[in-house]
Amino acid sequence: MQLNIDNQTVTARSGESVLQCASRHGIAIPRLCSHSSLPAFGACRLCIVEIDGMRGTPASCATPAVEGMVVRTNTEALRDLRRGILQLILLEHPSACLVCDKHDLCDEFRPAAAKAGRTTGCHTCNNKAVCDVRVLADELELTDLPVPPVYRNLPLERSDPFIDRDLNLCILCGRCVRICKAQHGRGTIDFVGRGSQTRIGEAFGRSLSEAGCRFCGSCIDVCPTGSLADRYAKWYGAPSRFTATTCTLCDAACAVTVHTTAHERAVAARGVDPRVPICVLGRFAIPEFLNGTRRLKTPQIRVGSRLRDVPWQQALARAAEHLRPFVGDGFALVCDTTNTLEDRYVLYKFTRDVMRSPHYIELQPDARGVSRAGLPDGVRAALLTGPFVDHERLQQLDLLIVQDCYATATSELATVSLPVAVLSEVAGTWVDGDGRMRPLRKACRGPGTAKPDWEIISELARTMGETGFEYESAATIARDIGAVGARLRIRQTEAPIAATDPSRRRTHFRGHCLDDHVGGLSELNGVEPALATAAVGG
Amino acid sequence: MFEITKKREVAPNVHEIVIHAPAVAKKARPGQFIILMVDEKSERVPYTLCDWDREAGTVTLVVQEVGQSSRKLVLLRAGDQVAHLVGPLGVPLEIERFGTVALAAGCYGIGAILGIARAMKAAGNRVIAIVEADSHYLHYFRAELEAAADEFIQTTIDGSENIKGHSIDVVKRKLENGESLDRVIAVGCLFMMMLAGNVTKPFGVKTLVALNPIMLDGTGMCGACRVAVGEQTLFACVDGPFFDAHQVDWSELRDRRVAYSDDEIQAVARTDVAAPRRERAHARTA
Repeated sequence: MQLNIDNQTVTARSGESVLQCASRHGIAIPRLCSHSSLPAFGACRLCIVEIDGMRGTPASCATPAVEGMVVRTNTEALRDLRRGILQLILLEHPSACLVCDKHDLCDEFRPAAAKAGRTTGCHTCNNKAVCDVRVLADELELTDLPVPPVYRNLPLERSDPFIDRDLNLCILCGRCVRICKAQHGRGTIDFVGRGSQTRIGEAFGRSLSEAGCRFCGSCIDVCPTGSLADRYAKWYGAPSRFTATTCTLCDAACAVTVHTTAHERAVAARGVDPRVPICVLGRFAIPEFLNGTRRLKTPQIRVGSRLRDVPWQQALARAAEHLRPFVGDGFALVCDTTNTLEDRYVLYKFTRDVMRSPHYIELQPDARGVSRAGLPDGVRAALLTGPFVDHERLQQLDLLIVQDCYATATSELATVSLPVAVLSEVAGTWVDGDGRMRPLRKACRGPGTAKPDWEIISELARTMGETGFEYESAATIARDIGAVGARLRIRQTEAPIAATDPSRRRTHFRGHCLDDHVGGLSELNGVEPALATAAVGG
Repeated sequence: MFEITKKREVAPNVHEIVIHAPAVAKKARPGQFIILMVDEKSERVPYTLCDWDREAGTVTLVVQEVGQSSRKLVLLRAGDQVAHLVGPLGVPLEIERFGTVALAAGCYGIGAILGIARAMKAAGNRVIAIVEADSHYLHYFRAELEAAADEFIQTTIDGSENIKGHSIDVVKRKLENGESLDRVIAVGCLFMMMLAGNVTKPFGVKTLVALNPIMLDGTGMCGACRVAVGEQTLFACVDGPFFDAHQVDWSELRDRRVAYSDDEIQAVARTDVAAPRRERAHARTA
C-alpha cells in the first residue's frame, strides 16, 4: 500500500494509521495524546493533517492509511490550527512560562525547576526537562494566549505511595487511563465528571491505594505533562544515562532500565517491555533502596566498643589478620542467592581454598525473600553478607566479619564491616527462578567506596597472601566458571506474579526488610488488606 | 514554641503565615527577616518579615513551598506551633524621604514589599508598587498594597490581566518616559532581581535588592551567606539583606545557591512519604 506524505512516497503496513506510517518514515507529526504503546484515541487533535479528497483536517492517529492517499502534515494552515488547539489546551495548564518573553534567558540562568508543591509554571514543574508541551509550544512558536487561562485549584494528591498528582497540569489526553486499562485490564483511574469539570481520578473519591492501584508506574511513564510524577525521581530532571539490567529483587528477573543522573545516582527504573507492567518493587524500590542514608559507605573496624571508618587497605589487613587463626572447620561463610554467580563462586572458593572450611552456607530466600540460617556447632568465626543469623549465636562468636549494603544490628556486632555495592551498582550474572542466566549491568555508582562482593573477597584473599584471586572484573570470573550467554528478559508474556498479587511480592532483599528502606512500601503494605478487598470489586 | 494564628494559601503555592512572636513584632523594622525552625530537627530557614502587628504581637510571613523545610512549614495550620523563631535579623532598610520610590516585586516579594511600602509612604515618599505574577490567579495582597502605595500596578507574564510582562518592564518604561525615580527596590526570585539591576543600571537609579543566599545562623558567624558585592565580600545576614543591585555578582550567587541541590532533592524525596497525609484529609473536607 503506497501513499504520499509531504511529497514523499511511503509504504504503509496493513492496519496502520497515517500517523504511525509517517512516524515510521521519519516524518514527525505533533501529538500529545497518541503514544506508541497505545491504540489511537483522538483526544488532543494536534496530529491533524490535510488529505486530498477528505473534508476538513482529520486526526492522523485515527485515520487508517489507504492506498493512494495524498497527505500534507505541515502546511501553514495546519500550523495555525495546531497553534490554536494548543492555545486552547494551555488555557487549563499553567502556561505563562511558555509565552514569557524572557523564557530563554530564564532557562539559561536557572535551568533546574524549583521543587515547588504546586506547579505554577515551567520554572516550578518537575517535568520541565522532558516536557512534550514545552517542545510543542516552541515548535509552533506560541507567543500568547487568546483569553485568560483558568487555574482549576484542585487539591494536590501527595498522600498515595510513590505517586504525586497535580491534576491542575492535566491536559486530559487520557494516556494514563488507557495504559492502565491496557496493562491491567481494569479501570483503577478514569475520566471523572463532565465538561470543564472533567478530571482524572478514581471512582467515589477514593485514593489510588483504596482503588486497588498496583503502583506499576506506567501512568507516570506515559504522562506528557508534570501531572503524574514519580515522587522520588521527579526533581532530578532529565536522566543522563539509561542502562538495561536485571531486577534481582525477586526471582522473576524482569529487565528494567535504570535511569541515572550526571552524578551516577540511580533515580528511577522502568520495565523494558512497554506492553507489560512490572511490580512496584522493580518500578519504585530500586533507587530509594540504593540511595538510602543508612547505606554503608566506608569500611569500618572495631576499636574498643565502636566501629571506626578506615581505608580499605587497613580494613582488609585487619580482617586478614583476624581470619588467619580460624582457618579450618571453625570458620563459616553465609550468603544468599541474591548474589551474582560470580560473587557466589568467589565466596565459595574463598571458603574452600583460603579458609579450608566445609561451611560455605548459601541460603535460598523463601517466597517473601527471607533468608535465615544457623551456624554449625564449633564455628567460632563467620563472614556474613547480610543479617541472616540470630544474634544469640553471633554473640558466641570470636570473630564476625560483615560485608553488607546497610548498617544493621548484625553489622554493629562486627569486628570488621565492609560496604557492598548491590543491585544496579554491580555487573555480573544472575540466575532467575526458571534457572536461566540473566545479566546484571552496572548502571550507577555505589555509595562512598562500596565494592561488589567478589572484589572485596578477592582483595581479602590476596591480602592473606593467596593466589588464584587476581580477578579484574566480573566478566573474567564469568569466563572462568562458564557463565556465558546470559540474556535480558526483555519480552514478557505476562506481568510478573508480584505485579498482580501483592501477597506474592517479596518483602526482603539480602536479609533487609525493604519496607524499612523504601518509604512508599511501608505505606502500601499498611493499606494492603483494604487493597485486597477493593481488588475483588475492581 | 510559637503559635500560628493564621494560615492561608493566598495564591497557588504561596502561603500567608501569621505567627505569634511578640518580642519580634515589637522590634521589627522594614526589610528585616527572621529565622524559623519548624520542629526541633528542622533546617533553620530565613524568611522576610512582610508585616507585623505590635499590639497583637504577631508577625506575617509569605512562604512559597520550594523544598523540604518550606513544605513542612506550609503543611501546618492555624493553631499549630513552630519550634523556634529568632529575629528580627538583618539591617533594616534605609527609610528616608527620597522622593519617588518604585517597589518592584514578584512571587514572595509581593508580600515582602508591604511593610516597606507603608514605611516609605509614612516617610513622605511617593510610593509606586509594581507587582508581577505569571498569571492573573497568582496575584495576592492586592487590597493591602493598593492601600499602602500611591500608585499600584499589576503585571502578568502571560498578559491575562492588566499589563503583559514583568514588573521591571514597567520601571523601564517609566524611566524611558522620563519619569523620575529616586530609588528602586526589587524583591523576588534571583532572576527577577538580576533583571531589575540590569534594567536600572544604564539610568543610574539607585537600586536595592533583597538577596536570598543559603544562610545558616543569620548572625554573621558561619559565613555561608557570603555574597560578592563590588570589590567586597559581604554577609547577607548582617550586612544585608539589601544590597546595591548594580554591584552584585549574580552568577556567583546563583552557583552558591545550587551548591546543595542534589541533597535538597534527596531531602524532598524522603519527606514526601510521611508529611502530606493531612493534606488529603484536608482536601476531602474542603
